[in-house]
Amino acid sequence: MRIFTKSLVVSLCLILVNLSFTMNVHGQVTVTGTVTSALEATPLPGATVVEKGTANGTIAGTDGGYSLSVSDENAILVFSFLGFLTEEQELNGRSSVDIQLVEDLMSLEQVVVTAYSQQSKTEISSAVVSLNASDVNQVTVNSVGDMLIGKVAGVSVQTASGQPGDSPDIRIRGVGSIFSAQEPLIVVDGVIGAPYTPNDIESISVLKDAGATGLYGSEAAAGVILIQTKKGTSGKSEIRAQIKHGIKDPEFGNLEMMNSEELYKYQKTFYSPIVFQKVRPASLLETDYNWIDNTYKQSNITTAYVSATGSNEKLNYMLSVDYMDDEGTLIGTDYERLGLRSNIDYKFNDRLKINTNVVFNYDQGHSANWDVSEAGYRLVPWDEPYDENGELIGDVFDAGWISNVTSNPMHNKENSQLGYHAFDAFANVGVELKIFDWLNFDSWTSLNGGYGKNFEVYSPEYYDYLAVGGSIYNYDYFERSIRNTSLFKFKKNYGKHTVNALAGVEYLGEVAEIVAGSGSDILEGKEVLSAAGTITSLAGDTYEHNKTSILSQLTYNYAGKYFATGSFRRDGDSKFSPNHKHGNFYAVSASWLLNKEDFMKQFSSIHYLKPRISYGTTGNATFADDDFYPYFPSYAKFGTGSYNNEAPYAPVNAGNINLTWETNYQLNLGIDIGFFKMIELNFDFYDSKSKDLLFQNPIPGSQGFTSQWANVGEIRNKGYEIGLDAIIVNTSDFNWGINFNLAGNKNELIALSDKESVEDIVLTRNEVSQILVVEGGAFDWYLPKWLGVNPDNGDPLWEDIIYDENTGEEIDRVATSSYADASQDKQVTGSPFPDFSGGFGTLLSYKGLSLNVALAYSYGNEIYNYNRQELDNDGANPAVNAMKLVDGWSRWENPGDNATHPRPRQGGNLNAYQPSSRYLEDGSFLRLRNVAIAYDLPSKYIEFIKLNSLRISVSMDNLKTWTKYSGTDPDVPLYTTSDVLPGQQVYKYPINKQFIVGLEISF
Amino acid sequence: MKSIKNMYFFIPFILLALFISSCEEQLDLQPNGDSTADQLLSTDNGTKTMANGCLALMRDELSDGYGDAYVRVLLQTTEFAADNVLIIQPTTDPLWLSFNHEHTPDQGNIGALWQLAYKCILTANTMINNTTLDETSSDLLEQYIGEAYFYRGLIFFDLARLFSFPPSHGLDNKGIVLRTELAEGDVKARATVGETYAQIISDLKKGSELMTKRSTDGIKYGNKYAALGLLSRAYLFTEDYDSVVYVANQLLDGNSPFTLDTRDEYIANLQTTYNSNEAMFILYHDLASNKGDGSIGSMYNGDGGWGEVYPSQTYLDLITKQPNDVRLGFIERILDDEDNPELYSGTIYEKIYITKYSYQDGVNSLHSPIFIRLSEVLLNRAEAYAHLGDNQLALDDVNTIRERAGISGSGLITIANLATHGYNSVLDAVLAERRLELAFEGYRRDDLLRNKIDMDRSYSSAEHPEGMEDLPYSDPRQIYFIPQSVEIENNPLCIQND
Repeated sequence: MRIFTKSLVVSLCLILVNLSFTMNVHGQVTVTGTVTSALEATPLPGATVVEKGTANGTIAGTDGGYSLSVSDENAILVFSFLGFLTEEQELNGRSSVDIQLVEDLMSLEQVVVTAYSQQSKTEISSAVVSLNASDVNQVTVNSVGDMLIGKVAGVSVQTASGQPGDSPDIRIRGVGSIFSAQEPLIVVDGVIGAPYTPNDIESISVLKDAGATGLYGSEAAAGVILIQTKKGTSGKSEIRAQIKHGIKDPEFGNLEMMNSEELYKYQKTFYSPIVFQKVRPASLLETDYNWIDNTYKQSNITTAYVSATGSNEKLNYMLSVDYMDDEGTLIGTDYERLGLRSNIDYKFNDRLKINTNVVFNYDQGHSANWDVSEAGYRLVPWDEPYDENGELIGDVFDAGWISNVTSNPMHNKENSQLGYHAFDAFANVGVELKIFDWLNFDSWTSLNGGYGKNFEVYSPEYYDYLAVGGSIYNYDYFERSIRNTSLFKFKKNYGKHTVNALAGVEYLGEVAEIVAGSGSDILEGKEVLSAAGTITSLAGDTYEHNKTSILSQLTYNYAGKYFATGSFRRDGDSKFSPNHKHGNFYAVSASWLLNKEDFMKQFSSIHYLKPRISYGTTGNATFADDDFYPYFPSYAKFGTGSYNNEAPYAPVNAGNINLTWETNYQLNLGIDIGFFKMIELNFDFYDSKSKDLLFQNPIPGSQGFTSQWANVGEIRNKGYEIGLDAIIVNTSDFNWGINFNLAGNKNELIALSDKESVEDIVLTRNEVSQILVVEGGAFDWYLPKWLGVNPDNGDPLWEDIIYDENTGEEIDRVATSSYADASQDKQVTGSPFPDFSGGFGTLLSYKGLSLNVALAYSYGNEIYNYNRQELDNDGANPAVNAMKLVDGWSRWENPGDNATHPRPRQGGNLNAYQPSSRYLEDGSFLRLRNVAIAYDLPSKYIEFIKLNSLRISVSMDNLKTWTKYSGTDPDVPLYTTSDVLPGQQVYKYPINKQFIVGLEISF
Repeated sequence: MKSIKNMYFFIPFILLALFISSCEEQLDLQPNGDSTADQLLSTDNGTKTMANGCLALMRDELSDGYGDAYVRVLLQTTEFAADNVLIIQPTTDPLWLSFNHEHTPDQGNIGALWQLAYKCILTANTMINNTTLDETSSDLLEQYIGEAYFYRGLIFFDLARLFSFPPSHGLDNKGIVLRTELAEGDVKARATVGETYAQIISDLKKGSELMTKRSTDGIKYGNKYAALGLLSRAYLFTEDYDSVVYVANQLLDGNSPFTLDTRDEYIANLQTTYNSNEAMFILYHDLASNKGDGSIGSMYNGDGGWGEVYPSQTYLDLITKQPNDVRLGFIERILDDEDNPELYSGTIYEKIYITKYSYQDGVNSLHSPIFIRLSEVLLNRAEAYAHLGDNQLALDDVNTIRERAGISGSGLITIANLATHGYNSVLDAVLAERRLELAFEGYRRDDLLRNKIDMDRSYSSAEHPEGMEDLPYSDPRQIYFIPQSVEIENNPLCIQND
């Protein structure tokens, strides 16, 4: 249970106790003692101690101590505290009873943070999953997305890159949009987009259905993730310090490149013997350079975190310092972060409370050019980067390299620097004003500023810039935003009726300014633009965005059994043209706490039963690169931005004056069931329709654009989610829990255009296509259909559809070796989306020792392994290394062979390497995401050094992945960019296997 | 206590009232850096930036273009498909498909060229259709609108060269998608070849009439003379030979400010083209737009580039007939330490670099390609004369070029010595001279196709190391597929090439 919750609960309890107990002092025996938490050995102020069968009781003070006079020396004391298992103790003549309460891991009283408010778990009538830090903090990561991998049904997380500092992509409930961003809204302590570091996270709420997200209106269509950062624990000052250190290894999956001998043997099969002798002399075999091993390496990761927390009646504070030093597995890449946070709440009086959050974050990192990151795949093992004297080779032509490169990636790496610095400052000041007991006014204002620089420096020795004396590129940005949210909050009880309401306004103003420049002819060793002899480009721009909103919500609850919520929000957004600036969003939800009904009492095994229903609308208005003025048909400087020192303006955005929000209409039916106080099951079924899809509508290239933003069509996502949490054993010494989640989603395209004639749209990236078909799936692979290899001659075969010339009807399907014919008959050949995905895990703890295991899986998707066009191309490019065939693959050698791979030929076998379903592969996988072991030293060993706790931990991330996929990683991004389609694998910075040890102390 | 309550009560409402009253105007924002076409066209200077935009669209790649700039793709897909060059090893870069003629309907370089071409046409159409020229219009405005016609005509012409057979194969063949209006709807069929060339000629004529003024650096922009030069080329394609002669005469023999570069300055001026006396329109590249590895010169010249495309044996046989020929200066044989020809490692080919697209201002990968120069106009006239039967006039023009190259005496061609030079006709001699003079500039393929001559593929190149049969002039793969996904899948009226 979260510390934050405790402080709330304490105040609740104080009120409760004062109301319900009269302090009877008629007994003869006074019992004293302390109530503490079994796990953390911390006091539980506010715990109640009651003499069983009487109204006689008291509550524990700030140190957990209590004193109670009881009538009988054999009385039974009942100790209880919200979120903990209730304990009974017979006095048996004792006058002192110290009790350790065990946390109730299945507690229903947990307070869950929801949109603009908080509710207890039983009150919530929408699909919300709440996680505590301890559910997700075993991994050592940089973003909330990484923490959520496999943890929540319906939340899928794809790691696009193992580059240190990069964040993964989060998708909640499938693909509701097509081009528009589908990243959920991240809200930190009530502020959209505020910074956080994973170590500061206290709890996470994932809002999945419209009932939960509706209050965020136009930004919430992709779901919302609410993060609460830590606060001080009531009555206790504590300093907590943690240090972790580990090693990482890059994970290449099933991909293996050929070594010198293997490549030599392979190429010998497709060159004529005379040519082969000349172009591949046997002397090549003397070199076997492993480019992967030399560009990727084992590396280190270190994190340190110190927090100071405390609280009294007036003041609650949390101060933290967070540091991360993450060395990349790719040479030359790294990431460093320093974060400072202060959360201070001050209570002036009973009516006025001030909350503040101040955050400073500093990040810096280095990345590598693609030629270095991809050298391991592309370069042949016959080339090595060093000459006989051990010097880096500068001119690969002189050195006689075979590889298809103009320069030595290692030399380039030594002579270049790519990186960034970023500094973020954030402050939030909130006021909570109690106007009447039933009416509050809450207002919070935040300022968020980000300043940063991206830079690229190429020394005069860098091969590509030899002629111009090196090059420097700087991109400086300054982003700032101001947000204010002001709400009236109303709460009143009328007998069994409880009404909660809120109404208010929200404002966002944001500005991004950039200045970018590049220069050549630089002074060696210098990294600033002034060191450039010639400035080759200079640009500056300012982007602005404002948003205003009115929001309201009404919650009604009868007798703590029936719950209903309705919300309404109206947003105004500067992104849209004057006639389309406003949008309305609403949501309704209801639930019934069945287990509180008398007739349920007979089913004693069911302690929790709550059906839920919600329906509502949310919006989406993100536009990839055109996010500020998407409707504006615009011309901008093209290319380098200068023609003969004059400005060249070219059309960059087709614009669309009628653009408006994409709107998601979502129905959610759910039920939460708890059995035996041990198991909780959550089922959700949703049916969501996204209308007026924000779509980069493909148009004929001859119109000057290949696409235009438009509100086009409608997509329907239907899916189910199952979550299971079970605490099989819940005692003070031994705990065992398991969790499991599963989600399946199916999309269907309802409409594509207001024009009925448009029945499908084809999207193509790097010559690879997907199709969206009305009344069919969205984003199905649409490729020439690969029929394998002709056993007679080893030529590739695709399917050619023959149409009647007059009627246009299909007559026949035949195998063809003409790619040009087959590629005019593209066909639906699979889907990039999984049938289902999820995760499972278990937690075991015995006394201070705990074991946590987490796995994630995905089933039934097809990945387009784009890299194989280059690495598995049957001789089309003999100056590039080739991948080894994986199990079950074979090359055609002799007539009659039933092979998977065509006969290799120099220059390629009839375009067999061109895009086709040949390169589609099953992307199903199961990944052992994390195994963590921790040990808390018993307090008797650490008391003498004045420590409250000492924990040693070992954590292993991404230990093993089971998959048939032949590429490096089946975890492929599911978004559309100008380069890739969902499920199209391009070269990826590999993810890491991590092995990390940690030490955490508190005092 | 009561009064305090009331005070508290009012503050929030005042804040809210302030907020709501300031709301609406906050939502009216316009871009700072970008503009609409209307904003740009409201001033002469703004109109100029759009004309410049056409040039940048030809020179620079799309943001995700991977080096596929219009001019690079144009020069590669034309030149690599003909017989002047060989490639030393296979590559998965689609430029390979120009060598082996196994085009695919979705090859990326052609798709990029198509997008850039039509962005340029959209810009030109917007300038032409949204500007009204009258007596009050400034000369400069007329110049810019004239440029729009010029760029549109030039690009239609380039597209016709890539995607359609020339008019000599039939005027009713499929031409290109002629977009000339702004609101034409999504789908549009291809015009015929006849209609296409009529539009090209009309645009170039209109351009030549309007373009009278650009302040400085005339040849870096569309101009009257360049339009006439291209017009002489267009008439050659439409077999209107009298018009070729008529237009060429307006540019040659001192009738224009352009003269042939002399032998001494020839190599240097065609490398640093803005110094050239004969270049009439160049696409200016400076250090900022230097394309490095992705430059046109990069495939030809291993100094700073890939250096994987070399002169073919048949071209070398032709150029080496005259050891004095200045044009040999673009051919650079690389020798090893013992002065032996150096092999490109891993291949069977000797390194022979082509430097026609290198060394502007001494920078190896920098060059400003020429779109039309006086030598071509002269040779356009020569070909027209040959077709008209004015054989001596044709040979006079050929010899003007040969003399400039440093060839004299029996090296010059007369009707009498045609056979000793190995030619069957004056047209043969003209085409050979065009091959020599305009080598690597992308015109060889046109010359053969236009005159219905099969392509000799007997020389060795990585796609056919032992040589192969002639490629017939009527082979469907002489022209490229219209990009399937960029155009045809969203424009069903546009019919694909066979």
